[in-house]
Amino acid sequence: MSNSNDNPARKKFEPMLSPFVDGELTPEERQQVEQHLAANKESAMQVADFRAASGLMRLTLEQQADQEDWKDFSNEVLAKLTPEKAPLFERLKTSLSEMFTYQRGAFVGAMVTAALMVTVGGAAFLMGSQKNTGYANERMQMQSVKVDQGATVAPVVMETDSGDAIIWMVDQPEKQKDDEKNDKPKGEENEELDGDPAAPKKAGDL
Amino acid sequence: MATDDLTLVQRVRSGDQRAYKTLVERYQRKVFSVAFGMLKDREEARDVAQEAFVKVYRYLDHFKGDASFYTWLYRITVNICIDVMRRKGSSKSENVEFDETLLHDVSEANLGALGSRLGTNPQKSALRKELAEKIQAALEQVPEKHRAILLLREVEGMSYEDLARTLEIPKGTVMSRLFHARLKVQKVLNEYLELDEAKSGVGTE
Repeated sequence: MSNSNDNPARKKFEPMLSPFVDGELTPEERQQVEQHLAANKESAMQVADFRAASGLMRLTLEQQADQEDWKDFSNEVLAKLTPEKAPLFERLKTSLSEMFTYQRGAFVGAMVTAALMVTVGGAAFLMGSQKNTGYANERMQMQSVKVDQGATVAPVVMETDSGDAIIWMVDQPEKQKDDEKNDKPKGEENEELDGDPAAPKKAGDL
Repeated sequence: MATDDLTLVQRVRSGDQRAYKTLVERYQRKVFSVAFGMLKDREEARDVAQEAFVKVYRYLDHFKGDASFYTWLYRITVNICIDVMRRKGSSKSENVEFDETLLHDVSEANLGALGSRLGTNPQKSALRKELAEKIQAALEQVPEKHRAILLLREVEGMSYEDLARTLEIPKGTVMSRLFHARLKVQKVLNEYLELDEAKSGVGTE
């Protein structure tokens, strides 16, 4: 049998034999190949070989596929896409159990830390919710400033820009003298501060 | 009338898993056949087929729809097969694209024996079973890239256009790789037939 290199026509058409078998040639090319096959026995035999091998291969692979059990294949694929989830409580239980089994040190440490945080946080919350009263309070709220009858001092209250109040006492010598002169007391001097919201505010009110 | 692939893909995207089941059942045998032809191992081929379907599902949002669903599916299948072969070290990553000596080898081999002894209907041939076993041996000798083309052509009957799209290579490369893959298979099978004839003294049927 001769080599394809010996025959220029066969050399030319040989690469077209595979696409000829596959029906991938243009009508013109197909016609040319058919004419060549009619004239060249070797090329014709090669085409027959290609077709036979092709049919054999297809059949072999189909038989291999036939031997497989396809009943559950698609379900197996779908199961891999959406693995069934256990209920939340079960998953939590399993996770905790696995953590306790395989990472006991870390698990115990984490639990102790969490317990400490809860204790400290809870205590801080409770302490924060209790209001101190009296002098322990951070800021006392002044309700009123009263002056006793016969006092020789008068309160002067000034409000600062930050909202604090400064109270100091101022001597009232004239009042002292007047009191001494008059048997009857002039009455009680009372300045209500922040007591009655409806009362008009005077200088010195908070 | 069967629903086309693209409609099924759209249904899957909107959360219809039954549509994906239909797609799997439509292609499972062929995907398996390609994987089996590549790997020659039934269990591995089944695993690869499942992996391919899972991968396709996970990346379904990346499917643009400008190519056929099945070209995309087969591309993923072939790539997984090549990965498996490389992991196993069974991959032959030949640097030579084509074995030019094949042309010479085939010409000198028992050209036409395969066609004449099998005839056009390989099912009726007495040699069918024996040769079916030899097909796998023949495929093993074909470089992985050429083998993929041959299998996709024979199993799926893909056009050269689709093969080029699936494997992302020029159509001319598809044509030449397919031709050389066929020459290789033909050579192996013809050598076997030649040997068989010499042993039994049987000529063509």
